[in-house]
Amino acid sequence: MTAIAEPVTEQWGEVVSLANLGACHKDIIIELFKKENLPQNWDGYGSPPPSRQIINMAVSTVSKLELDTDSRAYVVPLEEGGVEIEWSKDRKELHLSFFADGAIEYLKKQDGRVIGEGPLSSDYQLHSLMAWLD
Amino acid sequence: MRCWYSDQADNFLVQLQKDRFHVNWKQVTGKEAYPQYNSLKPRFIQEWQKLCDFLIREGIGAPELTQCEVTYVNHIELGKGWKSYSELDKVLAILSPIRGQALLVDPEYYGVQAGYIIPGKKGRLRIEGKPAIRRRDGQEIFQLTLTARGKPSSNELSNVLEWLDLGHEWIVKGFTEFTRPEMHKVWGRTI
Repeated sequence: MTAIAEPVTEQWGEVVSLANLGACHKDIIIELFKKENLPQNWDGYGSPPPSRQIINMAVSTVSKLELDTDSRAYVVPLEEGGVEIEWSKDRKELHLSFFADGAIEYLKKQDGRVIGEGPLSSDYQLHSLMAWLD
Repeated sequence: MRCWYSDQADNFLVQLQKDRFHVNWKQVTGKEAYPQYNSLKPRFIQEWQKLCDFLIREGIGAPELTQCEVTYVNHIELGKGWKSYSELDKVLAILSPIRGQALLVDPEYYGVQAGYIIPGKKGRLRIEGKPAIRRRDGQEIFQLTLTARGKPSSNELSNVLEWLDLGHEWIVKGFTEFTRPEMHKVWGRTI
């Protein structure tokens, strides 16, 4: 239940700089912004869109990653205002979930089975998870 | 401490802190027409005088000015006259074509920084360009920020406005020179 991300947006939050980030980061950030602009009750069960703060946390986390040019990520909204980023490579999957209360959690899957999950507590852990996916 | 006062539509923002006073206009929905410098100036005068009156009334004293600043933040949308960072020379007049080389053909991103002295010790114009994503619609942009900064000849409002006019002039003319005429047509710019 530890938030490791700091906001990265500019003073009035109108843009996120792409300086030093690649095309893979860009695609994820664009998808994150689309999720922020979801309507209320987007899932028919009363869920709000992810808040600006949660999106900032996700953007900040993604910005720290060295992503391969061939890495493909999916961004999905979570109920109650969270958002999740999912990467898959060969038989491995990595999910990073950003919850409305500020918690960030990971989930590792191999061959469709969960092989690890828990709170994300450090940048070192984040980079280790990405290295595992590679 | 920094205080922000915005209007209901969130277009106008007054920022007040110990060493800064800003009056800003920003586009929020993307549909608002840019109000132009000359129509923003009365708003600045009104807010500035309100602040000065308050400070004098409270016995704090009129502010001692160290610098004035005019900033324009331009969102140059990818896909309108240019398709990738290897085509940024179509936007920025200061760049030579960066296509057709052997190794560094297609940059993932590209940034620029430049500074120019305003003669007569009036200040500086700084230009910074960097890739970004606009939050409200996920549009990829090249954000070109022009900031003119310098000290007015006195604290008098007339001198402040004189300097702001100079800063504005440098930004408008600087933008015109820094970017390509072909793009001015794309943007419908008439200067």
